[in-house]
Amino acid sequence: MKENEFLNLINKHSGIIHKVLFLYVDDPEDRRDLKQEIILQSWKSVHSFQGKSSFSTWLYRVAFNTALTYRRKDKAKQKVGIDEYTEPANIPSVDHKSDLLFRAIKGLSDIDKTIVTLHLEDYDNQEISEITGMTKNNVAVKLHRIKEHLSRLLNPASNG
Amino acid sequence: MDELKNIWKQIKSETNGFTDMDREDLRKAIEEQSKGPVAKLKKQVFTKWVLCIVFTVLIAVGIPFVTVLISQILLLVLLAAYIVGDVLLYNEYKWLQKATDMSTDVRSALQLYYERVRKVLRYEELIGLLLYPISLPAGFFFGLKLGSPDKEIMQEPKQWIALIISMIVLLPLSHLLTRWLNKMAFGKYLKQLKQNIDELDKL
Repeated sequence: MKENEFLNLINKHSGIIHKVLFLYVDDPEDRRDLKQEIILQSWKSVHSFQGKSSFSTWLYRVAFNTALTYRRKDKAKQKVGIDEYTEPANIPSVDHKSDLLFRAIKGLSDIDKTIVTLHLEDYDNQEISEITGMTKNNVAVKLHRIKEHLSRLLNPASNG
Repeated sequence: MDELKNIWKQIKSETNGFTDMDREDLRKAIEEQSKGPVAKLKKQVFTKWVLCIVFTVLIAVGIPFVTVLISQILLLVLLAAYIVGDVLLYNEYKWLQKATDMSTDVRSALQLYYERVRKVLRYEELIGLLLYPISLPAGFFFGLKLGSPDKEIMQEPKQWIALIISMIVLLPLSHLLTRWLNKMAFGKYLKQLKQNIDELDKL
């Protein structure tokens, strides 16, 4: 793939990179470095994109792998409840529910973030299993737990 | 989950405006050096390899100027150790040069990084274990010779005792210091990788 073609595809799918950046790192310097690293690793691995999957699926793999193997400068955050997570989600604010959802997902562990993001992007369990390297059964079980957790956080009143 | 997907899709559509990346930024990004941990390790290993080669050359060049036989033998032993160190560090560097396919599945990528970083750190400790037992006595002998250039060294029992005590104390300390420095530099990172691997494996 030529450089121009690659850059066009990255630009077209830059939302994927932005989502991963906002979900996995908060420190601005980390975010800058991780953004550059994702783009660089994508370019280095572009020979492996053979069109068997969509470019977005391929880019998700590279972005998640880069984010999860990235050595962060900021301290690892503990999982916290939604009310304790006082930092803003740092995305262009849409509305309160969107902000809550993003903050809730940011509070999950790295692996849970990966699974739920792929699910929200309409990847089925088989595809999530292939991207993460987990068994399909594990994906289903984890996803069920994540859904329950997020529902409890987003709808505390209805959960008593 | 329908509610969550609806909210998620709203985030996507509303944030489309900020997702465009500057073309120049993208071009620069693919021309930059990697700032990833493996790239940083590679740089460190390369620096050590270059320093090792410099010391190897200095020792090789110094041998003809040394007239005392025992000193020449010591230098030859040290030279051999440093040549072995050069080869080991070069192998380590070549091993770190191997490309990592970041489009593989997450578990494989995490496992590869974990094993690669751990292997390099173990290699560093091994090189230290090889070089310390030779460098320490060599330094000791040279120190004695510099202090008493006209005397034969290691003729008095107290000199041997001092050497043995130094080796017993300093060799393990050097090894422990290397391991501690590695832990300070990479311990947290390896823990992060291992936790994620374990989480992918557990139900």
